[in-house]
Amino acid sequence: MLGSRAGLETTPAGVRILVANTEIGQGTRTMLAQIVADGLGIPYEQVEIAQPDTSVVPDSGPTVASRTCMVVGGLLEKCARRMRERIGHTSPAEYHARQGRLHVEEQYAAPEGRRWSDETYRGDAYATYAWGCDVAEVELDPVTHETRVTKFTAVQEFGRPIHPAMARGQIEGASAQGMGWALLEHVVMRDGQMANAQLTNYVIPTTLDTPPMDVVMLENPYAGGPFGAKGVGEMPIDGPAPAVVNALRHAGLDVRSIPATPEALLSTPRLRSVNGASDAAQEDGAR
Amino acid sequence: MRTSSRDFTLRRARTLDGALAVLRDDPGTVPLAGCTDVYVALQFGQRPGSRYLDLTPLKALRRITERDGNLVIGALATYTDLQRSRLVRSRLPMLVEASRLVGGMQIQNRGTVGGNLANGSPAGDTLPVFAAAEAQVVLQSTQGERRVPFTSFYTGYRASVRRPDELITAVEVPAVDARQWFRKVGTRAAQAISKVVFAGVRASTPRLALGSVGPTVVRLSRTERVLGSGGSLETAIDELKLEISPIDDLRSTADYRREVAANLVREFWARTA
Repeated sequence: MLGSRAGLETTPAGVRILVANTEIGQGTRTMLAQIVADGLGIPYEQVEIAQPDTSVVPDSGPTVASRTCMVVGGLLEKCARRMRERIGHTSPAEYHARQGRLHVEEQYAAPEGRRWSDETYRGDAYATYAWGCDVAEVELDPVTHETRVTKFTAVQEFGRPIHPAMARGQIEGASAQGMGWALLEHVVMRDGQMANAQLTNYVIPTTLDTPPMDVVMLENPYAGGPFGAKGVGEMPIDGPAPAVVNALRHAGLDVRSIPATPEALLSTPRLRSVNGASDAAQEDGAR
Repeated sequence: MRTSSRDFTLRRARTLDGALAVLRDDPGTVPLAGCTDVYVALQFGQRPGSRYLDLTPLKALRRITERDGNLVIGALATYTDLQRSRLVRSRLPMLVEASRLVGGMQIQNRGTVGGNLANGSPAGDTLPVFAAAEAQVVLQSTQGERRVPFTSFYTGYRASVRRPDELITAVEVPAVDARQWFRKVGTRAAQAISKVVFAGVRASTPRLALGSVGPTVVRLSRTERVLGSGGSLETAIDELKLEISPIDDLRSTADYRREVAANLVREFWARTA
């Protein structure tokens, strides 16, 4: 992945982005085009994106690990600035009409001070980290053992968001999925096969199962990312389930696995101490 | 769809008499209304039949009226119709509540009372309501009309006394002069199939019914007798646990259903006191 490359070329209408990363609804195309438009100082409408066909685009590494914005977006920002240096004050389209196609490409280099060996796979695997904190407020129904999340707060720090509305949408969507994982998504296995593999019996949250959410994006620009951005892709699905489980434990249930379905909670032992003091601390104190 | 529909035939009923004649001449024909269960079966690779009869042109069967003190709900009335009907809202609010919780809005717009009865799933959300309300099922054939008490309509899992040449044309519900209470416990807040579903009427001898706790909807007559004769709630709950026979399935467990069924009866008793 250290050899990841990204390219940018002029076209009769502006520029075309050449990367291998795929759009799967997360907004990658919008976000990369914004980085290039701002890096070049041209209107967003003049940026197009090549289909991620490896006969046309360079190897940008996979679309994984929340890396597309920070790593590939970072390469594109460099491409855009280098192209601007080459074409001077003219627009990419004018340059293309006069001089023909200009193609620039950047290859990833580890940030200064970071140690990593591709031979031994030792060192700092990640240049930086994003941070998140989730708070779940829950209600337990004593009649049905159902848990309802009544309010959810997600605080995420991933540098500076490139497209705040889209980033917020990613955080809300991932939080809803995380809460579904915590409370609903029960895989039933029979004879080695998943027995509930249809949407009619594999239960994911609907809008009515999803609580009001407060999403807070703490801006803390990261010097190693494009326009200060880090990655947000995976992070917001990590916290919701632990937050929900901790809320259930706070309510006195010794939950140790998810999904915490009503059927599971029916036979979940009560914690000896509730409301603040952890049972471990209580046990220590008793000794 | 997983099931091929290549050899399916579909006829369309223009009149009720025409529909009954089709069922007489070809009793294997499957009557269709909203199709919300048929399509699920086809998608699961099942084959509910190969010859189908579309009842949707029979607008008269969609009416909701009052006759001889009964609330008469046409078999083709949809869950949306039930929620909008002033008659149903004033006479049988627990049916409005049940209809509001069936599937999602699209299903409520298409699914019908007659379909819910004919499909006969023990998880059918309207069934405990009709059981607790002492409803009658109106069955018609070319030989005439008969009424069957709802509580003796089902004979087993998805099996009923309806003959193949008969059509469910209406449900008749006598006046309910005591507090009604309904609660569905599904797998999530909406678009859910019931894990346990309860309807109750707090008459001097209370009437209680549960779905998804046995092969058919269950009217809890022994539990009712304990409650009606002044027995304690917990004695009634002991009786309840003998009256139901829940199982483990994809949606829930027998233990959960037994426990929550008891809790629902307790909640009903407290809320309608």
